[in-house]
Amino acid sequence: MMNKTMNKTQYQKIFKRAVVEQMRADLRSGKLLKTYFQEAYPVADKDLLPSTILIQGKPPAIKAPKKDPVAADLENAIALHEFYKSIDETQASDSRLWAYLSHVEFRKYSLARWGLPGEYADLKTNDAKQRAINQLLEHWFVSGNDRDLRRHAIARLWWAAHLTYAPWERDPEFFADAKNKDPYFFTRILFLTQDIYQQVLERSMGRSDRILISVLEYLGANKKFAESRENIRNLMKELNLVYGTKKIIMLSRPALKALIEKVAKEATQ
Amino acid sequence: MKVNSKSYPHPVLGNEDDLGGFFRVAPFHYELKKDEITLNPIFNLKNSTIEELIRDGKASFVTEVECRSTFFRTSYSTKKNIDRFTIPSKLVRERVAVGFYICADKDIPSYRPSECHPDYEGASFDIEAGDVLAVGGYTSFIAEKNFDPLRPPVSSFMSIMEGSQHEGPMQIDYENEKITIVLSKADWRGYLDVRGQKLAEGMLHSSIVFPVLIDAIHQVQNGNGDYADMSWFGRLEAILDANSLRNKEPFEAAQRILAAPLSRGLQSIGSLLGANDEQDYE
Repeated sequence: MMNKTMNKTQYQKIFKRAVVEQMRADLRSGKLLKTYFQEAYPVADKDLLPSTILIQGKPPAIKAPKKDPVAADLENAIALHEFYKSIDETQASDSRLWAYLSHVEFRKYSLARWGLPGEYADLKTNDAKQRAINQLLEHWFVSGNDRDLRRHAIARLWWAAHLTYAPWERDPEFFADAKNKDPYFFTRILFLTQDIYQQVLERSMGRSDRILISVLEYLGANKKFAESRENIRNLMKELNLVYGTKKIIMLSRPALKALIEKVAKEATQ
Repeated sequence: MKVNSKSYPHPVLGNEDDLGGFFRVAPFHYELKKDEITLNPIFNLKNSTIEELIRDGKASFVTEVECRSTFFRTSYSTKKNIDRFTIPSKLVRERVAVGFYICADKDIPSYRPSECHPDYEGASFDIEAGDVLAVGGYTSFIAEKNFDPLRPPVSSFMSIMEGSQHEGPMQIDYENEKITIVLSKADWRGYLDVRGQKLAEGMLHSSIVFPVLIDAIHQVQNGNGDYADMSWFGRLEAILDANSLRNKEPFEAAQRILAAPLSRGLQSIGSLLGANDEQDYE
């Protein structure tokens, strides 16, 4: 028999804005630093709000294997995206949601993947404390821009899956020939290596799903090329330069594909 | 509307004095609705060669829309001088940047634009699909119905909170969605006593908000890249643009945004002293 609580529909909790601001300020001052070595984060009900995000059942158990935490990124991204499929882009850029998910809901994962090594007592100097604070601010909070979303412990996974999920559903005419049985076909390419994730999403061109998916399609079809960090970096750098004088975002699918192939070839020469 | 000069491999209308004529988008209206945002650009073009390319289906007016908060970037092409595009509201948040161009739809070999700068006299260029032929400038808006850049409440881009120090000077944190002013515990207690009281607003604006706003306007006007992605930065840009304060001294711009904080502060003091005098007589 199905457990009733497993499929219960409820609203995702989030922090109140003032609470997130206070948490950031307290972390900056060093007051909260010690708590990032603790498995539980004390949360008062008065600090939380129900969001308009509907969720069903229990959140997925995302993993960070000690030996190779990066290896689970793809699996985690798909699990999170499946669970939070109803989130829209505006909700998914809300700092209150991501701060709650990293500090409370997925704290264990966040500590394992993006936590601080050792113990609080190891942070002996002010410099060491400051470095630790900067690292935590980068991976546990977002401030309303996509650079932070790319680096946040949980947001980075959800957005990676969201931006690459079945592009033929969002833009059927343009991606008609890219249809695949696997809706996460392009997500798998994005997570083939850390370099692909970083180089492709770090560039502002990654905001255009037409360019992002076309680049991933090229990398997926040219795995040898995609194995080299330098190749990917040169490709993205060159495309960025081209974008300065040519609006490649408006190109037809064949023209965009041809351009990426041409630039990639030049990038290896 | 802002235009940044660039070095193109061919002459571009609107880029310095490459070509004679003009390409302007005026007026540019946008409408924020619950489910969608409508963009209504009106393209004004004067350059015979480029006008002909659009008529012949070889070039288009391109509106590029980008939102750094939601990984959103798309473009809309049209051949009409007046057109209308819609964006689902859920796709954007906070600052939305819009750029206007005329781009080639297909390869144009031996392109010889009219009214060329003498440096390009007699030259021809092989244009490829997507190449920019004209730049009409860039603008931005805040995708929030309740945000009015002409009457912005201070709380829309700034917040004040309690710090961990017991005493000491206030501090500013620019790395939040809003500019955060952090007060010592002692000052925070004093602030809580007067917060929300009409009489105190002028004093608070002139003593706390005003100096911070001057510094923040400096950051925006200098284009500080460290903060350019923060929500407050986009909002302050929109406020400066909407009130034609982009090129004013920060000292003056801050006073205009806060509607004469000094006068209001002095009035507050006057009213408080008056109230005390009356009490003395009682």
